[in-house]
Amino acid sequence: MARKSASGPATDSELLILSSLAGGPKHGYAVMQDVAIFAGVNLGPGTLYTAITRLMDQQCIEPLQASGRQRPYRITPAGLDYLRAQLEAMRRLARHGLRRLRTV
Amino acid sequence: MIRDLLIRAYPRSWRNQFGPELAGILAKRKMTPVLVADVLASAILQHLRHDPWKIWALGSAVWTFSLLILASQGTIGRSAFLWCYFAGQLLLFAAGAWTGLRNDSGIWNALSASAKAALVPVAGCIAVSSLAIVQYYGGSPGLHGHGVTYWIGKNVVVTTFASLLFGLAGASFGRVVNRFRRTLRARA
Repeated sequence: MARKSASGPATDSELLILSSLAGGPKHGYAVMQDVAIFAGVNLGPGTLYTAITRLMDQQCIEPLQASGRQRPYRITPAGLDYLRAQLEAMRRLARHGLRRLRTV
Repeated sequence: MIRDLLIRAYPRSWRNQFGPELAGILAKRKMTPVLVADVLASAILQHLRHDPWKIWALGSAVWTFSLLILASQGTIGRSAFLWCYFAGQLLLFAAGAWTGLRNDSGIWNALSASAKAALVPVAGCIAVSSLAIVQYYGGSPGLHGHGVTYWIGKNVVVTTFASLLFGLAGASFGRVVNRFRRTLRARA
């Protein structure tokens, strides 16, 4: 489960993983650490691999050659499109919400 | 020890693909109840994802055993129990149909999923109803001229056959719907 240690913009583990991989290929543990830094969310290993499995099924990410136990993952063009669409939707929502807040 | 058990909680095919990576991460993390719960929840999800028939097996097992408990406590009558049991068979029909719809690889796959879904509740039903036969009729000299063994055997055959029949019907239904959908798609 994704636990928020600080109030972040999203706790959707798939979006967090895609956002992390948008910065370059990473293995599972590196994704967990990266997400904790940029989003303040501690992804559990079970949550991480459930999301990785789902993202691989949706062909949003793909595995690269393993080095030892660790296997890096890379975001695919389909994954980039999905991430872009989701972030755009979040931006629209945030803009709309902030505009309404100004009128309160 | 706990780490190995947690990895083993996942389906074998998943373990082969992701096991070493997850083991590497677990080795770096401190074991806490939250972490164990997180991994176990993920393992259950992977089981349901890899073997969807387990969802139906779980559903039909819960259904059947709830009925048996209610029936044994006299909460529901005999005829209500029979109707509910029949509804349970419809659940197996649904399991077959769902697998037939989801998995277009063959009717035997759908039938096998339905049979697996039926295995636990059917075994439970056979055990409990056989027990009831022994309990209620064991002392009787004969039931319509037959002994208890005959009735238990008949119970086993009828329950198994009915479950397979409903599963097969569901699987066939799923296949027919799939074929119909393919035809519609081809025309469009």
